[in-house]
Amino acid sequence: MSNLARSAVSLAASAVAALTFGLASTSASAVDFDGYFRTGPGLTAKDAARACYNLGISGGHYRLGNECDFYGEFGLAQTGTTEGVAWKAKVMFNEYNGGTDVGTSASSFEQMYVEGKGFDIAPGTNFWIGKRFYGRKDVHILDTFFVRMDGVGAGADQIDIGGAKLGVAYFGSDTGAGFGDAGNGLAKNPGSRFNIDVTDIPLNAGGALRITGTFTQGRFDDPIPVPTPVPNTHVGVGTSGFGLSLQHTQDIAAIGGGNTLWLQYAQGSAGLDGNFGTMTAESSVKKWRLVESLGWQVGELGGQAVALFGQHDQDVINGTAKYTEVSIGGRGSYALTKNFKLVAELGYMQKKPDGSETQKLTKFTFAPTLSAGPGFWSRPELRLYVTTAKWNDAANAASGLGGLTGLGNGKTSGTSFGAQAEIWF
Amino acid sequence: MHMIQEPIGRRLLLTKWLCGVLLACSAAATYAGESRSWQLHEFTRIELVAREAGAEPNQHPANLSPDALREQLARVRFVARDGRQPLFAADELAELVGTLSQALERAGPGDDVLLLSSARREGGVLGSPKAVTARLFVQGGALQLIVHDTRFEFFDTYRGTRNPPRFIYGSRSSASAVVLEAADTTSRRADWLSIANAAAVPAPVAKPVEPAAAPSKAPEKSDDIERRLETLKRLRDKNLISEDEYQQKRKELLQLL
Repeated sequence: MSNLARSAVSLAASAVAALTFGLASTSASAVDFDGYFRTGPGLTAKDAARACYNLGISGGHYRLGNECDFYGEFGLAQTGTTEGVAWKAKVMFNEYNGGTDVGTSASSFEQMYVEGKGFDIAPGTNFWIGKRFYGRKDVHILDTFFVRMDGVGAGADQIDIGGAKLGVAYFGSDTGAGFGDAGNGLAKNPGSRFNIDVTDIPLNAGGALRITGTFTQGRFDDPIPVPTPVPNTHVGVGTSGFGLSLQHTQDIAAIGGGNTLWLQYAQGSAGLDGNFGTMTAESSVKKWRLVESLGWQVGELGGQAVALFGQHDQDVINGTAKYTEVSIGGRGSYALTKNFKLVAELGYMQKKPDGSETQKLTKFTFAPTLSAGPGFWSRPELRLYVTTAKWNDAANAASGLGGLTGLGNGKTSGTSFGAQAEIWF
Repeated sequence: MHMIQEPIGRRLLLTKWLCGVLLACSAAATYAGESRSWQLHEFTRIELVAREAGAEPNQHPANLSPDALREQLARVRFVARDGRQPLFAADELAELVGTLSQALERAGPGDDVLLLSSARREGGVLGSPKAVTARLFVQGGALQLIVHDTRFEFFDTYRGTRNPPRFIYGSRSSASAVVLEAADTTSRRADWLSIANAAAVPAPVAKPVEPAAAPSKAPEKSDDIERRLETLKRLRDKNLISEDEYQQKRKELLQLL
């Protein structure tokens, strides 16, 4: 069955389920429906696909008016308590095309799991098995999850350990949420991952610490180097890895928001975000990053800002040089009326590989926006945007023949226009 | 209260020991039949918690039929910016009352019931869920309903930041900004209704008194309260308690009138 056909079947099945179970109802048998999508047309230059502007560092990209992909996720869940056990079963599929809204997109089940809490042997512990999003914490304006233990696994969490909560989980070889063509394009490099996640550690008034440990082991051994990864084949030798993430969240009532600070370290096949990293990276290859993110809503003025600095060792096996990365930027919104906001986003990114010139990118977007409410987080939003970006030759050179935008015109600046809807529900 | 049969009890002891060693399971383990929390949706749940410190013992367990609960709670309205609105939607109540009834029947004198009820109250499935947060208990032969939030808009911020929302429930000692009203009820405070017609009959089941957050006391007479107020004033005048402590306790005593 083609991806298109599969997508159609998935959507139809969900629609039928939605109608059958009465999603708008709150009755006990109602299925919870949640999701997210963004969509809309964009334009950069004559006779070219629209361009987006990104350096490809670990901190993601400044996303407002800078999303060239097509993405939506749609979940159905049933929650209920029977004989003291609170059960939840959830499925979620996505539709994705990394290059364009036009044409076909691929469908993939991102989540399919069951969890239960209230079992007689451990009533305070939540047990789960399946494929799922897990432990996610992001900076929205970067479209990046700085903790993201997603995968296929099994675990137990919400274990009370004296005021804090403990979670333990094992994940199999899935390397992520299965974006793209349902994982068919991923190299089949099996691995095991074990996570220990301690959350809600009371540290100070309004503040909590989270400690996430990651242990990984690639379970493949094919020492024959393969220059270009071939789907469904092993590539190289699986390595071990270790990661540690410290996350501090702080409520700041005075600004109607809060702060999140991460200090993250990983080596070998572990990722900074608590997931798998590069499965063939030598175990001695280290990386770390410090990320600071602030959110606020003071009257009509809301926003989110972020600053990131990171350093990555040279990875001989995978041919990447040692480099440092920097990202600093923010998005602000000002509500002129209940339903009309002016939104702007400014971001600067740089990447400095050892022995090479520093790659730099500055991007600015202005977006008059219609919204359900005046708040920064109010959705849905209908936005018109203009995005302008400037970068240097080093950034073009590092991106290959097409340059940073992929347009291959050798330019070091660009402007894009478009309209976009974004909704979560 | 479920009495655990001996063989099951032994097995549970063993499994709890294994659980404690292998999984660090909660020390507050109880048999599955004794649920104190009912999760109805991701952000809809009913749970039993220790009653607020200093509060009088509740008249729990209590038998309140789901139909009576539904009838009474359906009358509760709150003052919104654009007029008065029902606190609960009809289908929302239909889902809640069975579990609420069960919780009140399972509660002990030392328990309050916390209610978190989220629903897409407008906009169909694309509308953001908004929450009602409330504390319920039976006292003076009436169901007491204290509401902290009527339409808490938590979802967008939660979805944008991934920070778990913090829900605050009604409290005997501090009033929220909510203004409630309902026919055939007594308003003890703007955010607190006493619903006598909900047929708050003590449940016929025998249930041992659970440890309370404060020593059990007989229902207060006005003379007793007057005497306690005088004592309280004397303690403050002698600087044996602070002004804040005096005001807090005074408020609690006055609520008993």
